[in-house]
Amino acid sequence: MAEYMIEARNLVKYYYLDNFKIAKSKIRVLHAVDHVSFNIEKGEIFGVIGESGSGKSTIGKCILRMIEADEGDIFFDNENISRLNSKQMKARRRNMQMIFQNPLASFNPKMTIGKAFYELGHVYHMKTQEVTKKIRELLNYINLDEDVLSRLPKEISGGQLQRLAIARALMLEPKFLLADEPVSALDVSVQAQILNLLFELKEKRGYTILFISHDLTVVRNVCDHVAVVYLGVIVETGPVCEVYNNLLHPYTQALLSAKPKEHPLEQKERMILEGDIPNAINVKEGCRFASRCPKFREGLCDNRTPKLRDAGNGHFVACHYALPSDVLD
Amino acid sequence: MKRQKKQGKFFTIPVIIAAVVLAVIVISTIFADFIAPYDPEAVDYNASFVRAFSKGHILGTDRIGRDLLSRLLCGAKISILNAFMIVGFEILAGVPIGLISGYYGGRIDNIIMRIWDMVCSLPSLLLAFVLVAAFGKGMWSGIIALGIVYTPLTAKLARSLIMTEKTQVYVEAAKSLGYTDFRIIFRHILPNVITTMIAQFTLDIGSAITSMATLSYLGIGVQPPLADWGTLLKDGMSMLYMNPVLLIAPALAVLITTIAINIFSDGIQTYIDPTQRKLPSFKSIYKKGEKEKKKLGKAVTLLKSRKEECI
Repeated sequence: MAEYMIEARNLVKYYYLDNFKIAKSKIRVLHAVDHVSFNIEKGEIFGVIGESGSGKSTIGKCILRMIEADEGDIFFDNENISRLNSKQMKARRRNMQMIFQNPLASFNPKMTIGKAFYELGHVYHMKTQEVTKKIRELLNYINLDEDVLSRLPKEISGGQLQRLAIARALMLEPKFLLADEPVSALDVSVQAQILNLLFELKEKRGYTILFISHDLTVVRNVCDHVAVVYLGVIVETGPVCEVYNNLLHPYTQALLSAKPKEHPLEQKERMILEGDIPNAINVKEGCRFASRCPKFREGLCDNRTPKLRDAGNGHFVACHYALPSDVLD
Repeated sequence: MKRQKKQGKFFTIPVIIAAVVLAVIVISTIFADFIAPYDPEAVDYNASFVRAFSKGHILGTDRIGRDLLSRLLCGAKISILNAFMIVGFEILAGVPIGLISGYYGGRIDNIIMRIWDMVCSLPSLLLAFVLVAAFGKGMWSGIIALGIVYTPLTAKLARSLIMTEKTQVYVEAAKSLGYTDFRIIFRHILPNVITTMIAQFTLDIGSAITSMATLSYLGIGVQPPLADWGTLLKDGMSMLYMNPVLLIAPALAVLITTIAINIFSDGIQTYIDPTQRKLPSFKSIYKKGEKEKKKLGKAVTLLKSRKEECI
């Protein structure tokens, strides 16, 4: 049995859009995250992919308790952190750090990089010499000169800044990193540096990383496990090679068919979904994907919510007709 | 690496004039005790109602022979110091309240803002009168009353600024690093919004001078023997027919100072907010371009000849 760094059980986050309606039935509820459970093993990169608006960032922030989940339990290193108050939580923040999508926005624009690093050290009661030593070590690790410390964030390029953001997250030596689309704001040549850095962190230093992305190829290259999210629910999850080689859920199939060809002669069938991602407001019983699904069958799909079912080798899928044993009539 | 300079000019002609006027006023206020030719409270019955521009007394004297210029200079000290104290009160009280209510939102925000709405709905000077009446007349109660009247506006400004700023990613990043709310509000957000507030504070100094003068003019602000511009106005009013300069001089002092401060703060605002900045005229851009062309001319011909060589 593998040891888990993060265990999320039945995470629920609803947003109530009209607070003041008297008729309760008319209150619109946005189902941002709806009964999501997953486990992240120690020392692995866990990928979460999905369209924009599917709730993948919300899941990540719920785990760090940047957003309070309505229901559900979060176990961090075998400790339930979902009921801790803010003071107890602050003591554990050290162990969980976050990397943001836009590196420029994630640094205070009025603070030089050096100041930001030293401040972080002082907040956690590190001595100045200790901080200096640590910063040197980190800058050496991410391959940057020391003169970046005297610069403002806007004077540094995106890729370097993202490496600095990772360095800042590493400064407290956390056990867990949440990377919220860390490469989608960067251009492709720089993406590779960041991904290599993250991969190296996992391989050599044993960090556990939750990697949120909408880039399928990136997830395939970097992650060990993957979860595909659609409208706040996990539709397919499992080890990366298992999921990518054996696509079961029609949504994942459509998602992957949208990926550009890797070779010009590659023969590929394009599966085009109709319509946009539907609104997550007041979702009815039944499969969330029913309105866009090519395998949609009346009766079962629009009446019963599919549960995650085992497809072997740790591969789970939430679809009524995904498994080979399911008969399409 | 060099810091990039901000585009656009801060010192336009009106701002320069306003800055010079303000500098003169501030310096003469600081050194009022040395510059003033007479003791402002020295009574000289032999020299009552000396006319302006006469020998010895540049602006003349009042009924009991006090030199107006000296009184004006020393009055400036009190007036401007009071204005600074009012604005200081408003900063110390309004900014933290606004920041906290804007940052936390929810119920605290609602309660504080409804109270402020109540305060704002009353005419500000009227409210100041009521407060002074409650505290008892005098300089300090005037300052505190005006400070209380000005606080809600500052708080609202700070609140609206922090509400837009708190959704920024760097605030979220600071939260994820486990910083305390106090540190996030005052170390991270405040430096990013303070520039916008500074323009408002300079503007408030101008209106604080007028408001305080109003209170003194009505006899509930600064009390004699101390004299600020408002008290001088009040004295001058009663002696209008004997020596109109006694009224006109302090009135002009208030007017010039307020206008200078307003222009200066306008300049700050335009400098901070690039959308308000005046663009350079087409003519000047064209001229600049011509100059550059002349400079480049040599290089261009060189390049051309080299190109031809290659071909």
